[in-house]
Amino acid sequence: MESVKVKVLFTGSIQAAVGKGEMEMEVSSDIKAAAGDIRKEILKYAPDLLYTMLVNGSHYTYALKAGTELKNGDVLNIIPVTLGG
Amino acid sequence: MPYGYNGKILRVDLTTGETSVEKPSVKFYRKYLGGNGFVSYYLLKELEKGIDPLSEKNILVFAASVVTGAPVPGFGRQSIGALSPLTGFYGTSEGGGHWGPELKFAGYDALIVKGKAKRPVYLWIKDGEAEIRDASGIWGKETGDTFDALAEELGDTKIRTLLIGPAGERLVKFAGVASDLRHYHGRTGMGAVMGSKNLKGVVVRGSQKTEVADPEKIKELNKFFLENFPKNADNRTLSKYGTTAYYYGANSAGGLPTDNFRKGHIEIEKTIEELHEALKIKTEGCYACPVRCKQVFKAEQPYNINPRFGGPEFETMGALGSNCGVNNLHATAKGHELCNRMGLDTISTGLTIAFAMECYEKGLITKEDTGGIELTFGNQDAMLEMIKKIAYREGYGDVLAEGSWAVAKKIGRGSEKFSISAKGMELALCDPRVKNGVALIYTISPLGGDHLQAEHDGAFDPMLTGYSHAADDPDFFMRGAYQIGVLEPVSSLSLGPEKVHLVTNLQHYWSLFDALDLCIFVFGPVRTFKPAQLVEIVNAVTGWETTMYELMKVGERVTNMMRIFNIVHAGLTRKDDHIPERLYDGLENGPMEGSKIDREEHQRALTYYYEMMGWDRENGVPHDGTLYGLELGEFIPMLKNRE
Repeated sequence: MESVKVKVLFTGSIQAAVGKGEMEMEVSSDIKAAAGDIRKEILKYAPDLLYTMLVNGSHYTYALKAGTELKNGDVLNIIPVTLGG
Repeated sequence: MPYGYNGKILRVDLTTGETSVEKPSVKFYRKYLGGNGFVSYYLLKELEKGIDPLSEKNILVFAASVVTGAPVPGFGRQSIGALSPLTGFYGTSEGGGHWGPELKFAGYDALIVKGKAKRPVYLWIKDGEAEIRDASGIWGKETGDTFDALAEELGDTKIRTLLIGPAGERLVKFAGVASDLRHYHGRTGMGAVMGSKNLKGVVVRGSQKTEVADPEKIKELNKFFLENFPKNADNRTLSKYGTTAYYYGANSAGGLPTDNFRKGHIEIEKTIEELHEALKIKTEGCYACPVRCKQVFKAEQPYNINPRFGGPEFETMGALGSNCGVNNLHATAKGHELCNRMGLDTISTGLTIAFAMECYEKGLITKEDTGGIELTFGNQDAMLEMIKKIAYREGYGDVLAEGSWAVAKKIGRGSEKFSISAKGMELALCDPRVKNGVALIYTISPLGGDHLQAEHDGAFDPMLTGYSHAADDPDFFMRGAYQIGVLEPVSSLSLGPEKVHLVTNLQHYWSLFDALDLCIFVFGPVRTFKPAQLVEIVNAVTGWETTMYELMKVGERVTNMMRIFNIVHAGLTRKDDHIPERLYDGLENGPMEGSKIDREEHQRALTYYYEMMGWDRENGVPHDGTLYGLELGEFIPMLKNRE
């Protein structure tokens, strides 16, 4: 898989933990591998953040099901996950 | 005396005015633990079949557990249970605060109330003595004024109270019970059952402390919690913002129920920082808990918000806010205050108002019906006005006080689809279309639309655990799951057999929580205390040598008892294990636009669930072997002879 440059946006409590709202990242064009690349980056700030990912505004699972590959300039939103409570 | 518990259960007959004490065996405590374990046992053993839930024949159980009151975070809760007047099915509601520990300090582990008082009364339990006292002077008062009157009468401002307000007195089907005014037993209409018995409140005070078997171990585990909860993502967020943070998280994920579950996203007028800056004056906590997730809000303009009633949780913000199309958080906080003062479940109240808003939008309810109120989505003053009308059963509020499903059946003409309910109880504000396991949770909940039968999907999604197995990436999330027998992450958007397995195991664990009256925010598998530590804590408190296997079996046992109850008392069949029709429609906006529950996949999941539980595939009736395996053989004849 090739590498692509994407914009990663951090939202809410994830932004607070990471300490920034966005960053440019070079990640794999494969969505699963990209998720791993981003996770490694997030782990630098906090080990246990609960989040999920949007790919260009849609849940990442949809992109996986569609077999989508990431392209240069794509936007990945890292948003908090809510549990029961 | 045993460690951890008193070995005494108080019985009160309000019809005769008699009280008595029973002393169950150690085996009984070990088999049911307390909380919802006790509720399920006493309802199953002693409730007459075919009764009206609001008649004197209903039984109310108030229960703490073998560990309640031990000085450990998350041990400050209690259960209330009865046949639900809202659903006709099993009813129970757990709440936090200090009441449960105080009941233990007063010498009892649980309280069973039967009959009906001739006039309004309250129960006063202090250091082993129980008294039925006249409440004629406080009947009609809101919860705050009731507390003040009782504190004055008893000469003690440190009393711990479970109280109903005007809604419970008027038998609003979703009336709740206020625990020390700021905590709440909202669900399944337990406040109406208290009202039907002329029982205004249960007040406790005690001076003994819960003796634990191994104080040093408890100290060690508490030290661990104190050092580690600020490092846990969810506990850290709860400490700062309480569950209000979930409102923002759900909205950004496209799963915040909006306009009666049609949409998943709303434009919120304030950021979370602005909200807390504007309204929060402090945080509070339950007994022995340093997380202190309870937010206390105060304001004078444009709505006066009295801080003694705390502040809204996520569910309340969603129910009275986004789901009614209201994005003004000040108005939502006012709605929360009204519900706590008057004794209403905020979830059922909000969803019933949203139901009426959609009926109004479609012309099924008119301005004439509502007494001139423009019941439109986004009309915050209409939402607030309707809360009062429901609580006091005034005007159209008297109709809505029956709950959305009952009203829908009366109106007909397609309005049933606007009632977002299961088994007759309105859903919580967790949309299964963004976390599919929650669809199964609502489907199989013995209570109806209750979201707390199991943890939700997000923490077990491969986004967090499956796509980055680097050596330096330990399984922070799955570690808790491994300990309850779940080894693989599962996508949030799956309802396949692997998701059913996840939900089933989590349900056993959650059911155990309710039997021990524990807080999910402390003991959930991705929170600070992991399952293995729970076992250590139970042993350190009780002196037992229990195991995760034994404890999980209690959870499974209680779930089966609730199932038996619903089959025997309410004729439950597969058709009652359902979700609202709307969830098969796609979300209309937000990042999850178009997402829906697949009907066939949902039905397959239900069948898998029945099978994993050891129930028959057709209607989910527990097999004899399942019940014998859980030492519930004594209830088999009840199931066989249910006709």
